[in-house]
Amino acid sequence: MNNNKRAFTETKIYPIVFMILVAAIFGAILSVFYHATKEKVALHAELRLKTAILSLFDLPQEDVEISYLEHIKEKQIAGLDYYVAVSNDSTLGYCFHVTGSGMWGTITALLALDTDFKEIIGLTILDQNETPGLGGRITEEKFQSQFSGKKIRENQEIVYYRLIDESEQASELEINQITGATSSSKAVVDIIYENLQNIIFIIAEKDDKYYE
Amino acid sequence: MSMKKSDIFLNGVFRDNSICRQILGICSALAITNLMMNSLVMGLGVIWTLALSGFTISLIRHYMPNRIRMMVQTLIIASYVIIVDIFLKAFYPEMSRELGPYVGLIITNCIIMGRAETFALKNNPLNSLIDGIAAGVGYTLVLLIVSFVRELLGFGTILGITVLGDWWVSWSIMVMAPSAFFVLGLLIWFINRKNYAH
Repeated sequence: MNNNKRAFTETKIYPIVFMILVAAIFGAILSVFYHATKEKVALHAELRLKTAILSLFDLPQEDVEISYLEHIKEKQIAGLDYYVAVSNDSTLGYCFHVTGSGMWGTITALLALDTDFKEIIGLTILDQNETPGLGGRITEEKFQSQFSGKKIRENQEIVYYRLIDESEQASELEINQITGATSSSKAVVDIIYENLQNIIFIIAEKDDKYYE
Repeated sequence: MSMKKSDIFLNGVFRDNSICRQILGICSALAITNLMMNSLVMGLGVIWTLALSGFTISLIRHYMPNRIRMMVQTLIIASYVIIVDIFLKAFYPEMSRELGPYVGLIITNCIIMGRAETFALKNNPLNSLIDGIAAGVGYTLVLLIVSFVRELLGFGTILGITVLGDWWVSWSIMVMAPSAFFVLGLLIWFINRKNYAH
């Protein structure tokens, strides 16, 4: 018995069998943990999304669920999901999911636009995998808040924001990039530009009042 | 070779402190020490991973083919780290976002592979468990000391509670990564100064 076992552990397939076995055991343990917490994680993500939308429009967030029900309507137009923010019967603006590739992975964000589709109300980056401390700084308030109040259209064309140095004074169509993270800064500007093309195209097609 | 359990523990925490004596695990020690709470959670994650990976690796050390042991160790370490990540995501989403990629990066923390290679492969599971906890506690202590200084001077708070009043002008350098080099460097010098004094 002992000899047999010895013999098997010295064969070439033993390491493979061993590795597969260890991987299978730990894979099984992890999948149990993953499935046990999946719903909870999804719930947190939903709450975070709702909070982010409310805060883009400066709506009350004491009780996120109630405030969300009262102020935010989920809508869809030509396959594009969006949110309408309402307060005291007047529409505050629209909020869209925007996404695109960053330096290392996909960046997803929420982009809030005013009712005339003329300017950005606010931008919140939800997920990103940029380099921590460099590109990761795109989630900082200082970078994100630059987009608030920016014009999105000029002479019927979508504006492509010019990136300038962090220390310079940005004009209306410029964004201060993050030093050492040019690619990530550019990725955010590109994502807004490309997604806006699509959003405005769909909106304009459905309702021509947006293109005056 | 038999060792007293208290010796294993004290060696891990103080005499062979991974950060100060072996200069391992510096990357995360520099990255997440601007707030004490982050350091504490990171430390707990590392203690958990060190203890259980040491225990598991020691348990299978006689069956593990030598040539693929690194692969097996990485897989085991990664599994425990992913459990920490899932746990934080489910129960402490704020903390999970705060620490971001650094939780996943526990996998590459040199201390863990170091303890697996130098201790768990040669010792019984119980001793390896104690050694893992000790090395983790040692790591956490250093993180807490560094983050105590950085949070106090950088934000005027301790564990998020304001201790320095309005008169305090926060040193913004302390919030940024370079200050970790200064604080950790000074700490390592202070602890090791006797070793080099003639």
